[in-house]
Parts: sequence; C-alpha cells; structure tokens
Amino acid sequence: MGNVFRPKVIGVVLLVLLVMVGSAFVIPVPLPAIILPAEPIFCIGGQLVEGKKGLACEGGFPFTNSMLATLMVDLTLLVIFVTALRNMELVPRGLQNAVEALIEFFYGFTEDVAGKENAPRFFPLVMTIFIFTLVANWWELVPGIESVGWITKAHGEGGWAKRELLPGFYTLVREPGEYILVPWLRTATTDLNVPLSMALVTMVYVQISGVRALGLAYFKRFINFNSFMDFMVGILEIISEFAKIISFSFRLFGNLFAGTVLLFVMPYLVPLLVPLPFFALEVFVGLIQAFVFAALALVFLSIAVISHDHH
Amino acid sequence: MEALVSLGINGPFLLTYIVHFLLLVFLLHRFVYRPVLNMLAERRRRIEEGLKAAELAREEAARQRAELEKQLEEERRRAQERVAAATRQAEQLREQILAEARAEAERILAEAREQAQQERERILHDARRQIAELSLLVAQKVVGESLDEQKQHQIIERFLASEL
Amino acid sequence: MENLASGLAIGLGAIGPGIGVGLVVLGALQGMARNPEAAGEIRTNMILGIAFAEAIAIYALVIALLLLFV
Repeated sequence: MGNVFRPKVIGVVLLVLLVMVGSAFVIPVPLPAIILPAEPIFCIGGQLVEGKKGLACEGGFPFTNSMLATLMVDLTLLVIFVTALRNMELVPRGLQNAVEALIEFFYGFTEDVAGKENAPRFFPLVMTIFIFTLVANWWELVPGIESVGWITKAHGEGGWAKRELLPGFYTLVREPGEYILVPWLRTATTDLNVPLSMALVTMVYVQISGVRALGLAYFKRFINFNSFMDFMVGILEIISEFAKIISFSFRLFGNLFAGTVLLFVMPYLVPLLVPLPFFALEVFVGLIQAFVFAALALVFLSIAVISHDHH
Repeated sequence: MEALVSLGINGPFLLTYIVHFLLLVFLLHRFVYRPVLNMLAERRRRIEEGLKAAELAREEAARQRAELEKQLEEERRRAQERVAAATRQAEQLREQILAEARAEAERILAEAREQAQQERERILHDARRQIAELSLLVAQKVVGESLDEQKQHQIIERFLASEL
Repeated sequence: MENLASGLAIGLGAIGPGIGVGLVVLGALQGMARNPEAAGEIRTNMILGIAFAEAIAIYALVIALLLLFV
C-alpha cells in the first residue's frame, strides 16, 4: 500500500479531470429533444411532412423509428438463431451452446414456478418476452441509435442550430436554433406501444389460461357474492388486473426511457469518460427489466391457474 | 384519450405491435424453442442411455475380470499342486535311487570283502600247501628217502587240515 | 408549474417504493446470509418483490409524465 497522494497519482487524477472537463468545451454535445411518442420516419402510402412536433404523416400509415428498431431486433434474433441452430448438433458448440443454455435455464425456471404440466404452455410466451425485451433493451447501447436521423424544424421552444458536415449531411451543434433530430432508430421499448402490446398479450393470455385451467370458476375471483368482503376483494382483483397492465408496460417503458434520457444527459454534461459507467448500468438495467417482465408474466400466469378455493 | 396520444399510445401502432409480438411468439416457438427443447430431451435420453450402457459394460467387465481371476487362481492352484506332486515324486525317486545306490554299494562292498576273504584264504591255503610241500621237500632231503607220491599227498592234506 | 408538479410527483412518489425496495433487499440479503443454499430462489423472489414495490413508483412516473407532456 503506497501513499495515495503520491505526485504521480495526483498527476493522473488531474489529467483525467482535465480531459473530462476539457471535453465538455471541446466537444459540445447538444441534448436531443425528449419526445415521448415514437416519431414517423417515413409513411407507407403517404407523404412525410413537418408536423407540430417533429414529423408527421399526411395520409398513409406512418412507419415509426421504433418499428424500424423492432425490425432490427427481429433481424438480430434471426441472425443469432440461424447462426446458432442452422446445424444443430448433438454435441453443442459455441452459440448453439449459449442459446441452449438460455432456453434450458428458462425452461427450468418456468417448471419451478408454474409446475411441470403448465410449463410447456407458458414457456413460449415467457421466453419470447425475455429474448425480445433483452435484445430490444440492449439495442439502446448500439452507437447511432437515437443519434442518426432526419433533421427537422422544432416548431416550439428548444432546438439547436444545424451545420453542414459534408455536402448534404448535417449535424446539430450546441447553439440555439430551431432544429431537432428525428432519429431513424429509437430503442423499441421506449415506445409505450411495445411494452403495452406485450402487457396486453400477457394479461389476455393470463385470463385464457385461468379459464382453461378452472373453467367458469375462474371468474369467481372477480365476481363473488359469498360475502361483502369477498365482493370487495373481487372488485379489487378486477382493478389489479388492469393495474398489472399499466405497471407492466410503464415499468419497462419508464426504466428504458429514463435510461435513454440518462444516456443523453451524461454526454451533454461531460462527453468523455463519465458516460461510461452509465452505459454499464444500462446493460444491467436492460437485463434486469427483461427478466422482471418475463418473471412477472410467469408468476401471474401461475397464479391464474391455481384455484382460489384450495387455500 | 388525449393523454394516451401524448404518451404515444396509438391504436394502429398498438395493433401492429400486438400482431408482431404474437407472430414472434409463434415463430420462435415453432422454429427455436421446440427444436432446442427436443434436442435437449434427445440429448438427455442419449446421455442416460450412454450412462446405462457404460454401467452395463462396467458390470460386464467386472464380471469377466472376476471370472478370469477365478480361472487364474484355479490355474495357479493346479500348477502349485503339480509342482508339489512333482517335488514329492522327485524326492521319492531320490530316496529310492539313494537307497538303491546304497544297497548296491553295500552289496559291492560285501562282495569285495568276501572276494578278498576268499582270495586271502586261497592265498593262505596255497601258501600253506607250498610251505608244506617245501617242508616235505626239505624233510625228504634231510631224511633222504622219498616218500611215495600218495603218502606225500596224505601228509600235506593232514597238515593242512590240522592247520585249519 | 407543471414541471414543478411533475418533479414533485415522481420525487415524492419514489420515497415509498425506495424504502420498500430497501426493505425487500434487506430481508432477502438476511435470508441469503443465513441460508446460502437458498440464495438462487431468494434472489428470484427478491426481484419479483422489488418489481411489486417498484410498481408504486411507476404509477408516480405515469402521473409525472402525464403532467409533463399532456
């Protein structure tokens, strides 16, 4: 254990600080506009026009940046699975081994929580939620996401000046102006529609599983005239079913949206070195949120198929 | 409704994503989970089979080895027995030969001794006869008269008989 | 004013879940320390418990977002 206050150590610390602070002046990073809804990047059978905030479609079906991101996620999954499973061998190697390990782990987890007879029914949904969410979340960390796209007029407060980088290619600079960036790609799970769609599918499947397992007796947990207490509990159960949809979708959306904003703000404050630990944090958050979504879906499914009368 | 729109929720988009998600579940289930789970089950089956086969083979090998060892033991025992028998036989043979040899030696010795005795007796006898003859000859010379052949023989025989 | 309301909503709304998550992890860690063989199961349930506690913060987040963007 040497002295921490050796001149060498102090020198290195000062250099790092200098690089960090200096980078804030040398590389001024503009803060992207924080927009909740997904923005259209082109229109299927319509015209892309400048809207109130960002871009909008005039007729036709708007194709949003989160849809493109979803397709990129699908593409990633396709590449991974095709590479891993093209030549399935009895003795697994490399990627096939990893994919098998993941699937085996989740199948075991499903069996642990839901029991052996329910596992085959619940597994596809749970596994897909995890894989899709994980890959979608980790796309957040790919360079170019949320930073390459159309530059358009802000039509409101905020916005940055634009400057020509190469002929035809522009960049926003950290000077007041009236332009914002509409990225071509945005983390799919930061579009509320994506987690909401998964939450809806999950909760509908929960009801279907409940009815399939218990028949009409399943609805006794919602509408029960045995006593006043049971009736009130039933109403609470109904409310909680809808609250589950909200908490499902907003948990994923909130974590990932906050994550992207964090990854905007950190380079905006200090462009070098400081954002690094936050990227590591986002890797962790992406994994945890994917797992939480899948695990909660599994738990709700398992609760639905257990009769209330038995306990 | 306005709140939903400002949060980005949009009917057609939502529907698109739901369809997309259901499709994804179906496709992944059909082309990824099912083959992989089948493969896992197949591998488990194979491994169990392999383990069972290995166990069987090991048991068989152990059995064979035990048998072999038994055989070997038997063989060894037999060989030992044979060696013991041979040793015994050899010992017997040796004793016998030795005894025979000893007997033979004794016999030869006895024969030799007897022969020697006989020889000695014969020599003694001859010597006595010669002495007697010589004495008679001397006596004849001295007396000057010769005894007849028959008398001479009688005297010698008498002398010899008295001597013995 | 909306910014203030939004900030207060999420700020105050995060206090309870923060305490709740802390308690969940406290209990889980004590359980794991006493019974390390059950660590895996406890960890899974801990994450689920955290998720349920966090749901409250998420409702606050919904309110904050509605205040900010609507």
